[in-house]
Amino acid sequence: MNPNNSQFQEFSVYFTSDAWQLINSFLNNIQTKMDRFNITSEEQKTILCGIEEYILEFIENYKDRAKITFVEALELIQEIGSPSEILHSMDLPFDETIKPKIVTPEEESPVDSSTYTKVICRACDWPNEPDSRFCDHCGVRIEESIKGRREFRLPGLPDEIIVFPHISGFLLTYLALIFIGILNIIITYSALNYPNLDYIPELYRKLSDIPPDMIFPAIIFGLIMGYLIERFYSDKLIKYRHDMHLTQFQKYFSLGLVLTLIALWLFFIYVPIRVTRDELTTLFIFLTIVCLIFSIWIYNWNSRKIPSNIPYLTILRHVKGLEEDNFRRILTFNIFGDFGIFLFVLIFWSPIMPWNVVAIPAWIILIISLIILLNGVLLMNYYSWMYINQFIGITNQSSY
Amino acid sequence: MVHSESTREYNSYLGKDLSTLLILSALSTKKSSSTYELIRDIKVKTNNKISLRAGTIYPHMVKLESMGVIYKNIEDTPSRSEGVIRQKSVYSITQKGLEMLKEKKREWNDLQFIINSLMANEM
Repeated sequence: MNPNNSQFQEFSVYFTSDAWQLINSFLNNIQTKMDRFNITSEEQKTILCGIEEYILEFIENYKDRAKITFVEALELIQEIGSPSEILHSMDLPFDETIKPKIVTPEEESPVDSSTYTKVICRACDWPNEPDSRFCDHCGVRIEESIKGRREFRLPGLPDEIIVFPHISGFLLTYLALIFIGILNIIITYSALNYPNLDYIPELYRKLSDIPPDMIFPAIIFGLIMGYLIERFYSDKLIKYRHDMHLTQFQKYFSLGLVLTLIALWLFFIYVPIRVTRDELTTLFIFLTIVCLIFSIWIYNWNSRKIPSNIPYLTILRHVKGLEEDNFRRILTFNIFGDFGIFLFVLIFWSPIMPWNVVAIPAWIILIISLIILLNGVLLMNYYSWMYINQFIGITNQSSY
Repeated sequence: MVHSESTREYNSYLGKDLSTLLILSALSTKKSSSTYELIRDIKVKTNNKISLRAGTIYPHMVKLESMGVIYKNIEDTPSRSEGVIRQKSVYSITQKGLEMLKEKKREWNDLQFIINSLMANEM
């Protein structure tokens, strides 16, 4: 079976467009891997025809007789197994004839094993221990063929799921971070100058009193943060194998963040609710405790005990690497980040503490928690978009 | 809500021999079965605790077929699309397969006994 042939393409009517793209991409991934391992066309045909039959029977038995959605396609992929699993089931003769990909000089730079949880073999995709010299599965020397990658495995996912053409991911990231910077400056400045204000909307209305030169530190803050995060993520965290690129990731994250911040901004300025500082303190004490408990609870999750009845989390469960420690860690960071922010606000606003004494530690807490929060938000945001995508069907056909 | 232990999958325990045992065992209870039905049957009968991956079962089926323990037949079946007949591969167990199943069951019982004995000694 060739996923691009016309016979197979007839199946597309049974899938929503994004689900079909996912299936296509998954099958292409399998084929690419098989090509890489010089699997004979006869063997490829057997496997791919089998998978085709399975997909067809899945369609025939599909209970609702409606179009198969993105999430259901993910489930189907899960049932079929990842390309690596399929290859491993084939008793391949792993030997010297397996040629790893050509390694560029940049990729050949020594891998700092301490920064990676697993080192994925380039020849067979086997996850090895960071200090392994030879691949446990195919025996290829790590120095020659392996590039260490953080194990965020998204088997079968297409290279691009949603693309917002004409919007630069980098630009949006910087905009988002500048926005955060501006908000921080406003909060600090307002609190310094109007410490007796009782409620948030009034604080924000004092925006006009802020001298224009206060905006520049915010922009610099945004740029520095943007640079650091870009460096941090591109070098350490986002090492999706071939599934998506940093710039795309930034687009999802940044657009979501910008929209959220604008919404918050508008909310605080225009919604005529009066929240006193005492009420706010109570609220934040509550939120801080909830977030702390929640983050500890999640941190102690057994990776096999991830809730299955929440659609949002169900998507994450289908993503292999995230089913393991990464999922738990990211979610913990995310919620612990919230905890940090709430704690900051609590310290900042609570009448029982002299905020000006704790302002510097509070800033430190805020920055650390923002970095931690971004760890989680960045990834969660991506899946949010995937989830939204299946309902509103935003896809960019041209990206395939 | 979190998964309880009872819904845990045991796929990680499945090696090739155990997969063979499961496949042959499932096929022995039916006249013939497609791979899809086979996977579903095993999943249902094991209360979702064992779920063979469709992509990994095909190489296995090919191997079993070449060993002569199962045989493949192509059947015509009505498709979801009206008036369309599609071809479907169904597998049946052979006499040789039944003998292999008997042997695999014996091996499994032996292994169970050994492991249980080991566990009992540990206690």
